[in-house]
Amino acid sequence: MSSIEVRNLCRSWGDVNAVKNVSFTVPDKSFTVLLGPSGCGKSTILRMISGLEQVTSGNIMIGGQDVTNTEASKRGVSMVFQSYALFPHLTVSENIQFGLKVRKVPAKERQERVLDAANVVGLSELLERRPANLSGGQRQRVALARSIVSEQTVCLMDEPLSNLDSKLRAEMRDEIRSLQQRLNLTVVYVTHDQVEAMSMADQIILLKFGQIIQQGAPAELYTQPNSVFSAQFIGVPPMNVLALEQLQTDMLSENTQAVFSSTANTTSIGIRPEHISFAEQGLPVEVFGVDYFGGETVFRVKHGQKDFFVREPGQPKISTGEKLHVNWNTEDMYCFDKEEKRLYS
Amino acid sequence: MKNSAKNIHGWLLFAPAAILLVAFTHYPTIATFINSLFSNQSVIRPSRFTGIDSYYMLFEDPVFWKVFVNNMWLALGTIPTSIGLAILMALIVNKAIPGRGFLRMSYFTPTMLPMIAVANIWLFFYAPDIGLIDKVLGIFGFDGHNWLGDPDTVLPAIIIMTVWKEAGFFMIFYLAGLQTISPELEEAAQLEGSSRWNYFWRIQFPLLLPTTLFVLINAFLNSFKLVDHLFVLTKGGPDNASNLILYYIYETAFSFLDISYASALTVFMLAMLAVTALAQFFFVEKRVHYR
Ligand SMILES: Nc1ncnc2c1ncn2[C@@H]1O[C@H](COP(=O)(O)OP(=O)(O)OP(=O)(O)O)[C@@H](O)[C@H]1O
Ligand SMILES: [Mg+2]
Repeated sequence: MSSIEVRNLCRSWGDVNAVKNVSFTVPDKSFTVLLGPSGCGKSTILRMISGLEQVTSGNIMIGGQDVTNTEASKRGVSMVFQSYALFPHLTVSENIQFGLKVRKVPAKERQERVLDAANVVGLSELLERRPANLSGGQRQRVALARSIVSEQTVCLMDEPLSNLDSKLRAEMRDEIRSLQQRLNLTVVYVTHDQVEAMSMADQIILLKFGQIIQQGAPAELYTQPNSVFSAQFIGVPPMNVLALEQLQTDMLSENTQAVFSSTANTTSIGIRPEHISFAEQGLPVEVFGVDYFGGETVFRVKHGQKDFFVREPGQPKISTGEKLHVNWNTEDMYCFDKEEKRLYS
Repeated sequence: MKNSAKNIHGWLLFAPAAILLVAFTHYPTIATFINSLFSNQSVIRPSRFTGIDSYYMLFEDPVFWKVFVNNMWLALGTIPTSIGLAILMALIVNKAIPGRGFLRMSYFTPTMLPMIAVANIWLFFYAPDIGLIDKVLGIFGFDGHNWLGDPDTVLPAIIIMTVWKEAGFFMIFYLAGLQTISPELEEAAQLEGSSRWNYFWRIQFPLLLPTTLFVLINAFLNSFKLVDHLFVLTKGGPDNASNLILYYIYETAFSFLDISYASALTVFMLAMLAVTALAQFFFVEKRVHYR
C-alpha cells in the first residue's frame, strides 16, 4: 500500500503563498500528474511530498502513515530531478548504487540490483561511463535507474523530460509509463506540458496560482472542463472561448440561441476546434491562416475582431481570404459565466 | 604581401606582452643563473668564472639547510591546516544562515590586510607579558613567555599567523567551488539518506578536488614567497630559527652583498618550485580529471 494523501496543504514564504489549501489523493499504483503553468506551485507540492520542503500547514500521508514531519529519507520515496542530479565524478554504476551504499547494502546484492536496474532502462553497456559522456536521454535513464534501484514504491518526478528533444521525449514518455505499470509504482509527475499529462496520467491535477482548479482523468478534463482555464489549458489548439458580446448571436442556430436564454448568466461560450465545421449558414468568418498537419488541418478564422480555430479532418480545399460560415452542434458548446466558471444546463 | 602585413600586425599585438615577459621574467632569471656562475666583483678583484662553486657552497652551508628545513616545516604546518580551515569556513558560509554576509567578510578580512599589517597585529598578540596571548594565559595563572624570542616557539608562532592570514583567502576559492555544485545533488543524496558527513566526503570533497589542486599549489608557492612578516616580527631570528629561504636570499644579497651566492640560492629555489608545481599537476591531475 503506497497511496498518497495530501490534506489542506499550504506553503508560504513571507507573504508569497505558493500553495494554498491543496487536497488530493493519489491511489496506490497509479500515475498522477500535477499540471499547471510556470510558477503555480507544482514543484513546491512535489517537494513537500518528498520531504525536501517543509509544509506551512496541512498533512501528507503516504501508505496510510502521516509523514508530514518525517525525514525525507524515511518516507519511502524516490525522486527524479529535472536536471537529473547525477554525481558528475561517479560512474553510471556508482551513481545508481549511491543510495544502496549509504544504506549499507552488501556489495554482492548491490551489484545484482544495479545490473537489474540498468537492464530495465537499457543502460547495461554504459555502466562504467561518467555522466559527462552520456547523451541527455541516457542521463535521464541513469536518473530513472537510480530511482528504480531504491525499490521505493513511490516515485516523484519533477519535469523529468523537459531537457530532451521532442522525439526523445515521446519515447521516454512511453517508457516511463510502461515502467510505472511493470513495477507497480505510485508516481507523482510534475509537468507544464499538457500533452505529457494527457498521454501518461491516470489522474490529472490542474493547478493555477497554488490552487487546484480541477482534477480527474484526462478524458474527463478534456470533455468536462469546469472553467475557462481548464478548457483552454488542455487541448491543442486550445478551446475557442468567445465572449457573447463579440458574437452576432442572431446568426447562430435557434437551438443555440435557446441555450443562451435558458442559462441567462452566460457571458462566454467555448467550443473545441474539432467541433466547429464550415457550413452554408451560421457565424460569418474570414479565413486568415491555414496549417496543414497531414491528417488534419487547422484553420485560423476571424469573426469581427475575434480569432478562433477550426479543425477539420483531411485537407479541405479552403484557402486564406475566403469568407465562409461556421456552425456547431449545441451539445458541443460549453457556457461560462463572468467568473469564467462553467455553467451546467 | 597581404600575409606579411598580417604577420606584422600579429607581432605588434604580441610585442607588449612579450617585452614585459622577457624584461621582467625571463631576462632576470637567466641573468641570475649567469650571476651564480661567476664570483662577486669587487674593487680589487674582477668577477671571474667559477662554474658551480656557488652551488657546492650551498650544499655545505649549514644556515642554508636550516632555512630549508624551516621552510619545509612552515609548508607542512600551514598547508593542510589552512586548507582544512578554508573548507570548513566555506561550508559554513555557503549555508543560508543569518549574518552570512558579515561572516564571509570577517573570514576574508585577514586576506585583505597587507602582510606587514598582519605582522604588526600579531606582534602585539605575541609580545611577552603585555601581549594578548600572555594576558589571556595570565588569567589562568601561566607565566609570560617570549613567543618570538624562543627558538622552540618562534616557528609555530609564525605558522599560526600564516594560517590565520591564508585560510580566508583559500576559503574564497572553496566557496566559489561549492557554489558550482548544484543544490539538487545534495537533495538527491539527502533522499537516499546520506548524512551531512557522507555527502561531504563522497560528493562535495571529490567535486572540489580541482579547487584543492589549485589551492595546494598556491599554498605551497606562498609558503616560499611570503616573508614580509619576518621583517617586522623576527628578522629570521633568534639564531635563524624562523629564517626562510627567501629571507635568507634577501639577507645574502642585500646585507652580506654576496650576489653570486644569492643567485645560486635563487636558482635552487626556482628549480625546486618549478619541479614541485609540475609534479603536483601531474600527480593530482590523474585523480581530478573527470569533467
Ligand atoms: N524558496 C522560495 N522562496 C520564495 N518563493 C519561492 C521559493 N520557492 C518557490 N517560490 C515561489 O513559489 C511559487 C511556486 O513555485 P514552484 O517552483 O512550485 O513553481 P512550479 O509550478 O514548479 O513552476 P515551474 O513550472 O516554473 O517549475 C513561485 O511563485 C515561486 O516564486
Ligand atoms: Mg517546477
